[in-house]
Amino acid sequence: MLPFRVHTGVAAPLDLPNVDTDQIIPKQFLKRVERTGFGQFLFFDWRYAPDGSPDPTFVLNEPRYAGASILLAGRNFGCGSSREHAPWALLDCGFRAVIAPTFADIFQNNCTKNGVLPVSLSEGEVEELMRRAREVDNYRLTVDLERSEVRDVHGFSAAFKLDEFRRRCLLEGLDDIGLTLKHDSFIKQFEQRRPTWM
Amino acid sequence: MPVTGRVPDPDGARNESDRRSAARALEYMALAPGTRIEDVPVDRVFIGSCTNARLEDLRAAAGVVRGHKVNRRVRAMVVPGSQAVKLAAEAEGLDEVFREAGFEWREAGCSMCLGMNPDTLAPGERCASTSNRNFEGRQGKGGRTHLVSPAMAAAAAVAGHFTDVRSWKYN
Repeated sequence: MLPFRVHTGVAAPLDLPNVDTDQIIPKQFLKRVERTGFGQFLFFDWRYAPDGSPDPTFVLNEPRYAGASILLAGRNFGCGSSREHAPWALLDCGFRAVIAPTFADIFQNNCTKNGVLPVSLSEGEVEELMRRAREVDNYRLTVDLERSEVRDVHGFSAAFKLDEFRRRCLLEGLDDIGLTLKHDSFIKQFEQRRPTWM
Repeated sequence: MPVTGRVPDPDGARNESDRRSAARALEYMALAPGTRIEDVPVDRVFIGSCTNARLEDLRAAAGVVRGHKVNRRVRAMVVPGSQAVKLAAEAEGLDEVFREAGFEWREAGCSMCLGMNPDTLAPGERCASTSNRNFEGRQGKGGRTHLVSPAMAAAAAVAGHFTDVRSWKYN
């Protein structure tokens, strides 16, 4: 898993509450067997007009947010169907962090196990970041997991909390398989003790 | 909100965020505040999903449609929650009740609960659905999903609009 330590990038404001996983990655695209390649379908029904052309009214299609890697969103982001494809799609589209007042629980867990950092800030702080993302040209944010802090170069700074175990996993780039493999030598030792016929 | 109620007005929301959210939902659903729910017509009726197409659900829905016909302007389908449910329902003759009324009797599967197969709504179509998700586009891009019980879905299929099954005329 890609570690998350300190990341600086363009922040895009998706000013909607209750963005559900059916919007993040619509169900008709869940047929891939691999975890990659979902980015092209991220927010598909919002991003594209019926004729397949990018919808210019959708915020992520604005040229100023091209290459955005930090998503600012309203409360309860990631609600709806349990769908690990949601963080896969965000990551595949280049998003390393999502900042919102609250997250749906399953989505939040799926993020931390896939190298996407979910950052909870207060409603007021998220509103302020969205305002800056709209008003400041080429607005960039730094999400610092080592110091558990979000900051910009215009004086904004806010601390956030993440479960310490999950924080450590993200910092070290360990998903559940990576964690297990840290015990590789014990696993090998155990396997050697087992009779060969097992 | 009861089926006998009216579409609420977003201006009555607790705060601006909720108001915008409600206004957006009404726009997507093409519903005007104050409209009686029972005056809202449906295009499609989906009785299915693993959670709401168990044998007792199909019995309840069949009881409502027995002796009635699906409204001319409605396309209605029943998708049993599992193959076991389908066989059990057929053993009781429920499939015949639905077929005679004008429902499609389908193989068990996810169907319009998820819309990963061709069972989807066209943009703007309105569906009374017994599935459990009504997110934007869930049953097809631009599709409008209203979540109802199996009995309410059956009644809507016959009436052509939402209606209170508690005052239903059973045959």
